[in-house]
Amino acid sequence: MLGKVLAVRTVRLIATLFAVSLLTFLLVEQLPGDPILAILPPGGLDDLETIERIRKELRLDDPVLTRYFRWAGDALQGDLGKSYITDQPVSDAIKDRIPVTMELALLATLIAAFLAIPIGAISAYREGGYFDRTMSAFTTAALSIPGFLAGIFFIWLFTLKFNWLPSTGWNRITDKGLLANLQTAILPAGALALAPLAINARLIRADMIGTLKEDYILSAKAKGLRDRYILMRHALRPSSLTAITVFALQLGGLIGGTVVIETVFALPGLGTRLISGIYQRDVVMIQGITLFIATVYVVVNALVDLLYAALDPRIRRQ
Amino acid sequence: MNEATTTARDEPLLSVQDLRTHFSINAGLLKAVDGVTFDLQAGQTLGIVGESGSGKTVLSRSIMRLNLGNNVETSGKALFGGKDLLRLPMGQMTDIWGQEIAMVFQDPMTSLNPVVKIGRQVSEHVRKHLAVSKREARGLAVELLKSVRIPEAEVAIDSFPHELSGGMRQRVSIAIALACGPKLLFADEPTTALDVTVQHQILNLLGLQQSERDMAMVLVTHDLGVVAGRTDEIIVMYAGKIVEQSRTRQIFQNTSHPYTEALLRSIPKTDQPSHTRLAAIAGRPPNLITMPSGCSFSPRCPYAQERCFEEEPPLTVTKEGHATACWYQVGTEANRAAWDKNLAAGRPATLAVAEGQVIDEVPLDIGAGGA
Ligand SMILES: Nc1ncnc2c1ncn2[C@@H]1O[C@H](COP(=O)(O)OP(=O)(O)O)[C@@H](O)[C@H]1O
Ligand code: SF4
Ligand SMILES: [Mg+2]
Repeated sequence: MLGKVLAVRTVRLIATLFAVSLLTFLLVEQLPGDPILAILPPGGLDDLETIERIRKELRLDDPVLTRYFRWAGDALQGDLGKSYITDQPVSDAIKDRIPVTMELALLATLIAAFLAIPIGAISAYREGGYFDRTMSAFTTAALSIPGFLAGIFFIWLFTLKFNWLPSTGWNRITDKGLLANLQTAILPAGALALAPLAINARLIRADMIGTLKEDYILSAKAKGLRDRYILMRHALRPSSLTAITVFALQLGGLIGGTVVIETVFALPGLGTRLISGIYQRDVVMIQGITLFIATVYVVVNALVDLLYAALDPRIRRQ
Repeated sequence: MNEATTTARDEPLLSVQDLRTHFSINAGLLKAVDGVTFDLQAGQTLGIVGESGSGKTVLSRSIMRLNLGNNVETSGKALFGGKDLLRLPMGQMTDIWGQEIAMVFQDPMTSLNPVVKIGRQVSEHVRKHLAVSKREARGLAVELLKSVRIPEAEVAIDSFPHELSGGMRQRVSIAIALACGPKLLFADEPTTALDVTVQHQILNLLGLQQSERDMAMVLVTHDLGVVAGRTDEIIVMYAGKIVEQSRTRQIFQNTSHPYTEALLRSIPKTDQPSHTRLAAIAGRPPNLITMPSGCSFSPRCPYAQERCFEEEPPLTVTKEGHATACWYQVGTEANRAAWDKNLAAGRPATLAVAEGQVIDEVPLDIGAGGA
């Protein structure tokens, strides 16, 4: 039974990855401008012979599907190609940049989770009360402000006004230690966390309001258990299933979301590399990084499914 | 189960006085419980009977202060051991809940938390109330599950509710309610959600535990058949009010309210073939927001006379303590006259009962031959 579920999910995962990679490849192909132009040295535009030679070397004249399968086949073996411009292998660029992006995404998830759960739970417990109304205003604001604006606001508040934290740049844990690292990570992660924090606080609140109306909450009350215990033990657990799913789903999205935030804070992450690739028409780099981000997203979502099944005893049994 | 408690006669364990619970909803003020008064002695069993919607659940939850929402208004008194539960600070209520008064809910599918193991659900409040250690609590959980006849209790404490059958789950609920040795147990339709075969086992279990522990019990049901022979006293509720109240035997032998009589007619009889249609009560319970004037049962009552539609009958008590709220009580001369008059006039509620009785009296073989 479980084996069959796993098989079905694996097939679905592979099909999704195929579609995603094809789309990535074709879309980037469609970017305006000939990649050759980006490679040529200044003034090389008239040198038709060189252009022709590069075309041949890169086999750019093959049919598009042929080139896709060649690219995808290499990618399966971990080879995402080399930048035409810097000659850097894409996989090296990813390896170099991913720690920053991952740390931002994870830190943002942690911040969102640590704040969203109590905010959602207390809002639900005191539905319509002062706290609930304040938080509802906060989440509305957090959702209507784009992440980069929040980032700029954070920089203004915490560096220009209070001068507590550095505004841009990145301290690697390996170089400067955890504390210095966190000083550079906390603002971008905070800006990144706002939207998922607001969404999750709302979801948990809605879910908890439903859970608190369940008979088993009333029967827990009739046993003389204290409200806080009931909230933690009986209400949060069923609701946390929803929360965990959403958090994990958002982790995939956050890796994409860091692109903008990294640019605002000038961080050496995957996002800034992708943006510079776009400016340079570095097709191979764009394709490689996009495929990587998309794959992470799809795989994380597949894992969430399994995690959900593992957490809920009712699902586990089916 | 009632002789031992004569000493406590004068001081009831629970004394409910003029209890009213009203909900403000969009349509108006819904009077779910409207002036209920009764006493319950320690160790005694009280049955509360009435159709669905008559206010039984709201009554029990009002006494326990478990009505949720902020649109509810409760007045009156519920004295428990001399203290008025309705005015007790919430901090003191949590000491009474589970420890002094416990409740078994209607549906064990929903009243147990689906993602918390049975063992914890049976013993978590014991740990809180009686300050026992985690290990002791586990042993206690096993003991409790054994006492409600759950096979392989050692295994059951580590399972989740969905792994048990409905009957087993209700046994777990009972174990939870009994865990701290309460003096009073509310069982709100404890068998309504269960198979017929399991119903008797659960009721027997409740009765056994109740007398073993000398615990008072309020058994709420829509089925008079459930309380027959299991309670000391019965309250019949209609539209949020008590319409008849007496010793159980009196309710069955000297039925005096027409509504009680109708409920008795609708008890499934075990000697009837299972497909026999029950004589249901004609009409529907009244809308609790726009109640009929006069007697609230009048639109459905086969004996209703002009007076019934105008004046509400008060609850009058005979010297034997049998209370009834009716102008034309069953078994009286006035009642027979009212019946004849309504039958002659062809009043639908009366005809429905008359025809039901005729069908009941047709011998079965003739009925089968005619079909
Ligand atoms: N929280 C509530 N808000 C509004 N009306 C309610 C609420 N709870 C119960 N009622 C109403 O009170 C009446 C009595 O309900 P209930 O006590 O559950 O009946 P019973 O248990 O006898 O079937 C019903 O009309 C029901 O709709
Ligand atoms: S008072 Fe009248 S309507 Fe009400 S139950 Fe008695 S006879 Fe019926
Ligand atoms: Mg009920």
